[in-house]
Amino acid sequence: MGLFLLRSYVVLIFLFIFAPILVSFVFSFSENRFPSLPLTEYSLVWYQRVLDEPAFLDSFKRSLTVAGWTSVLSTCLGFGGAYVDYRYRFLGQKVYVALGIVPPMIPVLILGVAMLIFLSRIGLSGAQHSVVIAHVVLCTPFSMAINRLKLSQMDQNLEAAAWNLGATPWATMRTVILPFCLPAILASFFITAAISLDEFAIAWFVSGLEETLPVRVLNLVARQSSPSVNAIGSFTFTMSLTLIILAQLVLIVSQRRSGRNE
Amino acid sequence: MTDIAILGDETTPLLEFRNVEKRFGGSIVAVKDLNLKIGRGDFVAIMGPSGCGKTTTLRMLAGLEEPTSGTLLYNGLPVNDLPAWKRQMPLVWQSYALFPFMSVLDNVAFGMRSRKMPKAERNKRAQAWLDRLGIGEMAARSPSTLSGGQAQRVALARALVLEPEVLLLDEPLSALDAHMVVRMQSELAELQRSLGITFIYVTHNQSEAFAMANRVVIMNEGELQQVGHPMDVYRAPRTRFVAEFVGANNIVDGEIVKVGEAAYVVDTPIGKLTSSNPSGLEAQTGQRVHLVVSADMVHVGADHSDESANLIDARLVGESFVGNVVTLVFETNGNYELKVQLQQRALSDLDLNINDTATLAFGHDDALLIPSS
Repeated sequence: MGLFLLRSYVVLIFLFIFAPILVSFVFSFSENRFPSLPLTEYSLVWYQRVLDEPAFLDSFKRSLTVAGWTSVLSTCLGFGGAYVDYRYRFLGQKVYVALGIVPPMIPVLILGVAMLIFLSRIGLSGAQHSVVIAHVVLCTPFSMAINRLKLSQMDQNLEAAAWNLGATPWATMRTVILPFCLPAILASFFITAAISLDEFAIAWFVSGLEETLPVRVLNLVARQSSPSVNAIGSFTFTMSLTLIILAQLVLIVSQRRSGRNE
Repeated sequence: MTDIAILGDETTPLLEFRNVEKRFGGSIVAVKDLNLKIGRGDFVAIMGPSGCGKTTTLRMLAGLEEPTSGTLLYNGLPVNDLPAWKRQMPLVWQSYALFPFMSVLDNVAFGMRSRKMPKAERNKRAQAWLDRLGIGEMAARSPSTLSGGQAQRVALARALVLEPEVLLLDEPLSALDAHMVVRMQSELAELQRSLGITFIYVTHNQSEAFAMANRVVIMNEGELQQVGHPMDVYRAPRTRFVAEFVGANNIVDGEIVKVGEAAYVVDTPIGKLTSSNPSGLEAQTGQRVHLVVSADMVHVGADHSDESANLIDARLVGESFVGNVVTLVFETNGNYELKVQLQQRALSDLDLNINDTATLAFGHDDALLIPSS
């Protein structure tokens, strides 16, 4: 009985979280202008409408570009940051790690305003690269966390063992550390890309006229209610979910492999 | 390394520590003023309890730690500043440290990669070593699928395929099952003999060291205690620490009361004992010493007519068995404990029960004197 209650509770929680998304999903395929039940006709008309509008396509392309740059840059920074923490012992190391974790804990609104002020002061605001910069700040901590976790699973002597066998520190990085961290690095690419694709508040502040897709959607919803939003929402949700699942898969598979003899 | 090899002649030790000291964080001294020479083809075991500096010593050899002061010489040339990747002193790690994402073959071939050897040649040599160590069929496997003993062999092959002059081993058998340990011990000793290279083996395990090494180095709290052939160290410990660390020794503190022609009389809490084995000690009357008697040199059940032995009456208070060796614990008048090691057969001949009193005897020659510390 207790187990049944617990299970129902979990199901209800998930229903509560996912119902709005599900509704949006379902209505994105309905031909009706206004969401109403029962569904009369299924069609892809709203998807077609989105594809026909250049403003949407532009912002979508922009979102992809921003996500691409963000994932590459924040993964590089995140891995570097994690490696420094793994490899060296230095004064203020705890502060260093704490500072690396902070950005996602700041409310995005505040982060967005701060970014806008800072970027406009140094003349980098209101463009695509502004969003990239802001998103890198937001995403790097996630990448650092993933890479730190992976490095913490590495045999303390693995790096020294490679040196001991004649590999220079650079060769060791290339042939031992990076291959070992590859699953974490891939996962970091996917997760940071997903975060950047979905991120709205900071992008809204700093993107100026070069809107990303979430900003475009908000501007649309602010003016009118169009079922196109459902189509876009369903599409981006699927994309983000795919990225997150990919990241999890990479991590789980690599975990299984390394943990086989434990 | 050929230019270095030419410089080294027969009289130059292969490796030498000259006044080497290693401090961590300025205050923690891991190794104190170490002076040690290691020759070609030696099987050296560096022994001591954890924290004695043995692993730090090994890591300094591998170039993974830099001496704080002093000089480390390889073939007569200082190598303090030579980075680890240029030393050609492969190490077999306690954790094996195999690369988990590479096949066994790639692990073994790894060291030859940095020497720019063509891949075919690399793999051929790696396979040859795997075959030699009896794990040839594991070449394509992932290290995570290997047993401890197999992983150990891969780690050995990975180091030996580089044809080094020196092989470093850091407690390589500590993670293996007891029956594997005995087998690997004889294999390692055999390997070292047939290759003729220097093995430097770090362990806290006395039986491991004594089973394989022809030279043991005993360290404690960063200080070198004694260097020598295992039997010499076992029979003639030079410090109280060594006497406690190797073998089962009885150590009695006392004061020399008489210096005779070939014998010293020492006044101890369990009576006046005679030693004719000062082991180089310039003993004088009044000097405080430790008198050391190996537990297997004490006889049980002597009669009092024997003039050439030290005789002590004691009561049996305990016994413990390891294999067919029995350790008996006796208590003397002054509540002093004495250990006696016997073969189990010898014990059953004695017909001795707990709380029985017996006379213990050991020869003057078997009572060793070492300076009081």
